[in-house]
Amino acid sequence: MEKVTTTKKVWYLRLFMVFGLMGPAIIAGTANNDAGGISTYSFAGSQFGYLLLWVLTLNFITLAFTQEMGIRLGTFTGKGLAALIREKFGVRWTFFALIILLIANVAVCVGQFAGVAAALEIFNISKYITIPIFSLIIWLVLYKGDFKKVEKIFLTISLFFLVYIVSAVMAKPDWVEVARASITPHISFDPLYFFAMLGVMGTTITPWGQFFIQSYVVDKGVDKKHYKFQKLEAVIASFFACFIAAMIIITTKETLFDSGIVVDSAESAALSLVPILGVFAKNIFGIGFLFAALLGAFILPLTTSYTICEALGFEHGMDTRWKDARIFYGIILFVIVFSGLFVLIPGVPLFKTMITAQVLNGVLLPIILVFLMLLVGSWKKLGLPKMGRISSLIYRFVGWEAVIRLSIISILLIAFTLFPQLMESLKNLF
Amino acid sequence: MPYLSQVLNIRVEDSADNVIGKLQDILISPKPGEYDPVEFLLIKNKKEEFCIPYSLIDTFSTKEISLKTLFSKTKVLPVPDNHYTWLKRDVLDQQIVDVEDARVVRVNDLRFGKVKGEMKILAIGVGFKSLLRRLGLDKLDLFNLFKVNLIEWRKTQLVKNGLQIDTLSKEMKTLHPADLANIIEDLTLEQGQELMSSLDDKSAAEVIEELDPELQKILVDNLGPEKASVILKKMSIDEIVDLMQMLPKNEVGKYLSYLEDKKQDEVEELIRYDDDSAGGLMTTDFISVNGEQTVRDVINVIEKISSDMRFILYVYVVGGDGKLLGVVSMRKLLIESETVKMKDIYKPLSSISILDVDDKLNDVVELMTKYNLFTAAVVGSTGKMKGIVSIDDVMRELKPNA
Repeated sequence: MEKVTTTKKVWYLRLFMVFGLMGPAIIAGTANNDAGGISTYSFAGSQFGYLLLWVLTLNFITLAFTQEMGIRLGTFTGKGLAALIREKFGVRWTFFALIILLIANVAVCVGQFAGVAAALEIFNISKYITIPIFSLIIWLVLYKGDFKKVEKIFLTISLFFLVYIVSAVMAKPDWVEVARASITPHISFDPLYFFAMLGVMGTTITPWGQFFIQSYVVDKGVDKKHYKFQKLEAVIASFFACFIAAMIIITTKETLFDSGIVVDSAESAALSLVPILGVFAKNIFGIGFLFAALLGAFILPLTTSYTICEALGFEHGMDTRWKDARIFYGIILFVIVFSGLFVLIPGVPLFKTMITAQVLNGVLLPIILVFLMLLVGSWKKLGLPKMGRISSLIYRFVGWEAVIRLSIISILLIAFTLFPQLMESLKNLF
Repeated sequence: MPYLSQVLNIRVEDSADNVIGKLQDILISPKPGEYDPVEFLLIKNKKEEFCIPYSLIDTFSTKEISLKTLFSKTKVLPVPDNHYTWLKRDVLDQQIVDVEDARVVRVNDLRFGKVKGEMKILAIGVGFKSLLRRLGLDKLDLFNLFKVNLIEWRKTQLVKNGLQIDTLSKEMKTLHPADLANIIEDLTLEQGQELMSSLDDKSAAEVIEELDPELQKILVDNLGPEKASVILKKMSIDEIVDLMQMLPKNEVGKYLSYLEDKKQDEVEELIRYDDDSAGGLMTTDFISVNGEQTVRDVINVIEKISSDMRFILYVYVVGGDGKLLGVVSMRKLLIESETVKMKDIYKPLSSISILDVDDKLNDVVELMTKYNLFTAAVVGSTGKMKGIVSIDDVMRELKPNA
């Protein structure tokens, strides 16, 4: 009897631990698929069907490894990524990294604001009304309010996008075909394909996500003993983020690509959920989309300013006031105002802005990854645990592979955009 | 006088103007609370790295660094081991404790100057101006919009070599617990832990009480059972209760077991009250006496236990059944003659204001403000004396992040 109860208890404990891990991982994974992500994947699926699924497989590997590296750096140094760059590479490189981060984050934030506007245009409310109001609300909550309370509500509502899992299954896709597409690389010399590919990469793995995960670990004060669990959590969260992305692509492929509809607005993205949500699809999707975009619109100004001020040694934090932390609140205000004004420019295509923001992230990401790789490379000085030869080789391979892949695709995309005839000559070559 | 960023990488020449290399780093042996003199210059040329004692240097300025003698006649030293602190490697761009303002800052630059004929570090540069200088953009600030922001070197505390007690300056050791807590919140977890462990138990307990609750939990978790238990024993009851409410349920028992039985019971009782009720706010650290005791007796009691109390403003007169009868203020105890009995001098319940354990924070604030109280007695439903709420407990609840 005795023995039975103990094994039972252990079994429960294990289950509990798995769920304990799954919880935050699911949340992190879903939050990663923000409004920009949903737009990009919907576009990718409706335009190219399964052709980009293989990119998600690569994304999963890269994301799991880069997040793990961030967690490792945070756990063993107790410092954020920006602080480590400052201490290892000095002021100039720090400035460079921060400017890259600022550009990338402002782009994502513009994307989130565009998402807010796009979501509310589903309900026929003009962006000239919604954007000024929401900009003001975001500023007031960040300046005076308690963002942590708001955050939980938003995260919960964002979980709505788990609906894509159901809808993908209900669409009864050819799973063998899905599996095949997930492991078969596909390259076509079409600028739009490159654009979508880089967007899909840049939305899953982001500069801000890399800074964010490390600060998160540092603030939580993760014990070195629990590092293994954190590692597992990173893998699960990464998998989940890419899994949902795949489900969005599958859903849009089955419902839209096959009927020849290309997603070019939040409204058309909502169409993919009609089979499961029926006539309410548009409205339900609109609300979910709004909150997903708002979550990002709250987090991005905050995390951007926090990182910059931390690295440069300015007063920062939610418990400071304008008088003591002018630069901290100044940057927050700048990001909000810039994003708001950009979206308000008459004729700005909202949906395209969202995807372009992800593409820009993909272009800038390799620069941040280089810093990450160099820091992990000097593990001895930073007091990181020693790795076995083989695992260290794998890490280096995965990291630098991502840097090289992203750089090549970015350069090609820029080249194709600037010199369209280049694409033609490449096509003739193959 | 030069800044470190202005002399790094400039050419070093000997007395015959032969270039012998570039300045790579500057070595000092820091002593807490002093302006440390420059001891060695670390110089690098194409062939090698070596050190030259500062005593052999003739000029040390932003324009040039030169030796007093010919290089061939100078005795150079090999690069020493880790005994020294390297200014560029270990200090520049790193965090440092600004002891005077009780905060942690990042070193943007270091300023040198001559004091009594010796070249010493005078100050660290923080703020935007020194950042611009590091970027080579200081000329952009044409109108001197940005102030030069310097912190005296001797009022800082290096973090790099760890924060053990013997490396701490006198100013650092005598900081107020609340200031030390501020600093620990800014340091990395490991550094904070190290600083905590080097404090004596009583100070450590006081610092823990002042920390942000999240960090409190993390630190107690990380300090290990031994240190955690001695610190817990030194903490006041209401702070222990606050901490226990932060910890996961399954761990509370573990920490409670560190305490002696009596305290354990008290904590367990207090945990049951709502955070923001009088019961949750109060501490059970108060002095209760019976009516028959004389002023002398009470003073004897105070002498014995005063070191364990945060403050004593009143003693509380209770009956045999534990019911509160009245209070006697410190002032009264001082002026009454030693033989007077408590029952003859206490202020009865009818003329004082007391709180019920279930009173809400709002009621507590209202009562204490209205009657200008520093402390208020808290009684249970039967009128039994349970504890006291002090004004700082209320303030903490109202402004948790200060």
